[in-house]
Parts: sequence; structure tokens; C-alpha cells
Amino acid sequence: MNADVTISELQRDALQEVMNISMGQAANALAQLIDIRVILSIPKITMTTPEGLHSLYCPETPHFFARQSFMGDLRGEVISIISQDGCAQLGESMQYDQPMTNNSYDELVLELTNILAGACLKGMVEQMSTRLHLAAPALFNPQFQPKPDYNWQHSLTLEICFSIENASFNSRVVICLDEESILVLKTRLDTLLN
Amino acid sequence: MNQHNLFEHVVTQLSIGACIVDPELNIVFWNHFFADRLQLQSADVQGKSILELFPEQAAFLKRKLQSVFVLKNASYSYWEQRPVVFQFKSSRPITGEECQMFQNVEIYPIFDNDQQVTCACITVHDMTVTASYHQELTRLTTKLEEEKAQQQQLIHRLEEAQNQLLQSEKMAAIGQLAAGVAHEINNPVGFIFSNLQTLQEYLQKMGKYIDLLGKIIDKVPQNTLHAMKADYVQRNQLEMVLADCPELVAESLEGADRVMAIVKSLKEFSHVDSTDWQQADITHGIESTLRILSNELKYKAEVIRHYAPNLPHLYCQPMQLNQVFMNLLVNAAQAIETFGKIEVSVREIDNAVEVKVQDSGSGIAPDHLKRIFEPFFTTKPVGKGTGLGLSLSYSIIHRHQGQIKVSSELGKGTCFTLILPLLTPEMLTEAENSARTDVKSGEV
Repeated sequence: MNADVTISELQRDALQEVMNISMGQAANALAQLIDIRVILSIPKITMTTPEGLHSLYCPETPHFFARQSFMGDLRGEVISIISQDGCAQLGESMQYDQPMTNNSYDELVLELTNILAGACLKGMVEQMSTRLHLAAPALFNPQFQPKPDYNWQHSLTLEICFSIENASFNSRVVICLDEESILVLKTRLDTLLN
Repeated sequence: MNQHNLFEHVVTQLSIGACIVDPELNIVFWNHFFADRLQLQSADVQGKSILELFPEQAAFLKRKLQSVFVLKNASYSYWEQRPVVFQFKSSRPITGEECQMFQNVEIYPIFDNDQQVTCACITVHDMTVTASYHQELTRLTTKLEEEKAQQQQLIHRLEEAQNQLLQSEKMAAIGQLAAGVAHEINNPVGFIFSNLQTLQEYLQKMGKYIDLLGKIIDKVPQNTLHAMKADYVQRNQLEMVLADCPELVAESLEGADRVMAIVKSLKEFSHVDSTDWQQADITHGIESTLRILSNELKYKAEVIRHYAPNLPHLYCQPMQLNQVFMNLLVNAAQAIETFGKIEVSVREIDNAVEVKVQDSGSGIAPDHLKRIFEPFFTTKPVGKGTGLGLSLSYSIIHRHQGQIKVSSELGKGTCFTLILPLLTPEMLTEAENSARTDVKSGEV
């Protein structure tokens, strides 16, 4: 592994702290938008390889997939993996027209991805006084994609689980930073630490 | 022009829709894109609630705008999932088929210097061109897939037809073999039969002669001769032998007669020149078919014949018609679960011969009834029926310019009626010629 992209224990702790605070803010914001109690997990910070990323795409139960890129000081993509189970209930509590059609499920997945990505990144960005812009989310189906030849070796991923009380719904939001952004992030973390 | 005015002009004239709303969801400004399409100038709508202006999508807009103000992040809507957010007329009112504009909508927050969200900007992109192109592609793909499925079905049918062809070739070969065997058997059985008939006469004569001899011996007053005769008769059980002889010969004759009948039926049925048109008595064909099926029928049904007397001969392909009778009779027998009856009636009706095959079987369900003449339609288990019997019969009857009709009642039985017109060779040639012209004109 390139020495440049590894993050030290101190940096990791700082990032964890930043993320924990952002999750608190995100949960608050979500509570205003979604009329049921949502549970956000503590973010899991890992370095991943293309193989590691690919293993995300093979959940056991049927899931929806969406991705959303962001750019600015930090660049990367947010991948959301949303269980099909429980989506109907979530759609109802988010005041989607009932009964849900395939289109409204797609819309729900896109909206959920956008909200979760926005909420999760917002706090982090504010605390580290960086600037970034989220592009529009898009649906994708990893099953129809061959394992691509990625032009990166390492990515820093921040994984957050999002679930709803008393429902079978679950989803994961994985924020992936590219190698260049890891360096930027490290500098910002060092500034915070000082 | 100062910078503020410049920006306003740019925004006003942008080719995408731009509408700014405050946190109470009242409109602050919208550009020409909105104004032109709704015939409402920005000044006219200022301060009005966007939810009241667009009531159809009020719930959606409220949810989206709320998420923008709360999360301070952009929110999106796509034409794929929600084609129309704002009721704009199509951007192609003359050349396009679509009546409304397909839109991508993006709503993003506008921050003040303290990073507080003061307004949200709604932008609308006209996606009509992309959407209709995309929809056309989807239609084409669906059509292609449908065609592919149809072709698959066709291939499947071809395979079945090929199997059927192989099967009928096999049957033809067996038929030829049977005809050959029948021919070979016919000669020996012929002389066995006629020899047995002669033998029967001879035996009668010999019996009479033995009787006569016995009576003569009885009249001779010589005891030794009497004793010798009695001893011989007793030792050889001659009384029994003499009594049994006529019976044995009669049985053998009956057996030979049956062999001859079977051979005849086989020859008739599998005759090589079976497609020949000839004058024929239709009841002969029915009888020969019944003989062939006698084994199959005897445990299933009692066959009752109603043949009208003095039936006219029919100009037909007798062997092909036998095929039809065979199909109808086999179907009738298969429709009977335990034991029932099959009635075969033949009568003359104005210039035609009517054949009815009525069974007391389980009947045909109404929704199957209209499909029974379709090729490959069968309700029999896989491997039991080809689904071709009745369609073949239909085409044979059609070739005879006749009709095949069916009536059926579930649980009561089924009746097939054939109407075969009395044709002449000339009528047939005429019909064939006109059929050819039909095909030709059909091609044009």
C-alpha cells in the first residue's frame, strides 16, 4: 500500500469523531423529513480495494442500488444499497402515493439515496470546512455489470447503516473517497487535530 | 448594466426553467421559461404559493422543497419516474406525438453569507427529445423481444412438425411392410381356406361311407366281424372322432376366414396407392376400419351401426377417409372411461352422404371445442396424442369439399358429423383450378 494514503490512528479517531457528530445531525434532519424513527449506525471507516467494493454488490436478499458522485475539495461516490423488503412501508411513511408502482419505488430509492448521502456528507463537510457538491443520484444494477477494471487501488470508505424501528427495512450507505481526496482529508484532519 | 442586472437578464433568458421560492414556499421569481409556458409573468405570481399554483404535484413539491430546506442539499426528480412535474405543454406541439413536456427537475438551496438557506431554486430541464427517443427505443426493444418469442415458438412448432413427419414416414414404412406381409400371407391362407372347404366335403362323404360300411357289417351274420368292428371303434374312439371332425374343420374354416379378413383390411388400409380418387362404398371403408380397431374397441364400447340401404357410391380417396374414420373412432373410444357405446350412422342427404360418429364419452369442454381442429392442440398427456389427428381429418374432409362438424356435451358425449358431397371427377378438377388461381391472386 502506498504510504501516502494510509491514515494514522490519530487521524482515524478524529475522522470517527467527525463522522459520529455528523450522524447525529443527519439523524435529526431525517427525523424532520421521515415521520418514523430512523436508526443510523456508527460509521465504519475502512480502506478498501476494488475486490472489497465488488463484494458489496452481492447481498443475499433482493436490493436496490443507486450511486451518486460528489466533487469539490473531496471527490468520490456514494453507493446506497437498499433492501427491497420494507420499502413499501417506508414509502407510505414518506407520503408516496399508494399503492407503490415500479416507478415510485425507483423514485423512492433515488430520493432516499440523495437524502442519506446529503445528510451524511453535510456534517462532515461543515466540520472540516471543505466544500463539495453532490451530483444527481442514479440507479444502477451491478448484476448487469461485469467486474470493471478500476483505475484505482485503494479507497477510503465510510459505511453507515440506516434502518427503521420495527420494520424489516435496512440500507447501507457507503461513501467512497478517491486516492487524491484521502490526501486532502488527511490534511484537513491534521488541521482539526491541531 | 450592473452585474446584478446582468445576472437577472441571464437567468430570465436561460433555456431552462428557473423558479425561486422562499422557505414558506412562496414564489420569489421565475424566468421566461415558466412565464411563456404558463402565460403568467414573474410579477403576477410573486408571493403566491407554489403549492397552490401546481396543486397536482403539491404533495411532491412540498416533500422535495422541505428536504432541500432541512438538509441544505439539492434534490432531484427524473422524467423516467415522474415525467411531468409542471403541467407544461409539449415543446413539440406540431411534430411531436407527446402532449406534455418530459422534465428533469433539480431543486437546490441558495445560501446567504451566513450559510443559511434563504431560498430554493427549482430548475426544469426539457427532456422531451430524449424521453421520446428513449420510449421509441423501449417500444422497439419490446417488439423485438416479442418477435423473438414468436420465432422461438415457431422453431418449437417446426421441431414438432419434423418429429411428426418422421413419425408418419415410419408409419408409412410400417404400412408398406404390412401390405407386403399381407400379400405374402394372402396366398397360403387362400389355398388353406379352399383346401379346407374341399376337405369338409370329402369328410362328409367319408363319414357317410363309414356309416354305410358299418351298416353293411352289421347286416353280415358273422360274429367275429362284429366283434372286430366294435373293438376297433372302441379302441380308436371312432364315434368321438367322427362326431368331432366336422366341428374341427368348421372351426378351422372360420379361423382362416378371419385371417383372410384381417389380411384384407390390412391391404385395404395400407394400400400403396391410397391417395387415388375412385368411386367407393363408404360403408366398406368404415367396416374395414372397425375391423382393424376391433381389438381396441371391443373392451371399450359396443359399436352400433345404422347404415341406410342403397347408399350411393362416393367419388373419394377411400384410404384417406379411412384415416378420418380411424381418428374419429379412436377418439370416441378414448373418450369413454369404462364401457359405453359408439353409434356410427351413414345416410344420404341432398346430394351428399352424411356420416355420424356419436360416442357416450366424457365430452369436450366448451373452450376446447373451438380449438380441436387446430394443429398440435391436444388434451392428451405428453406422448399420447400428437394433436394432429383432427387437423389432418379436417384437411382430408376439406379436400373432399366436405364439412366436419362437432357437437359435444360434457359428461354426455360427443358427435362428429361428416358431410361428404357426391362429387364427380370434373367438379374436383374445377375446384383445384380455382384454388390455384386463388393462391396466385393472393400472392399479388
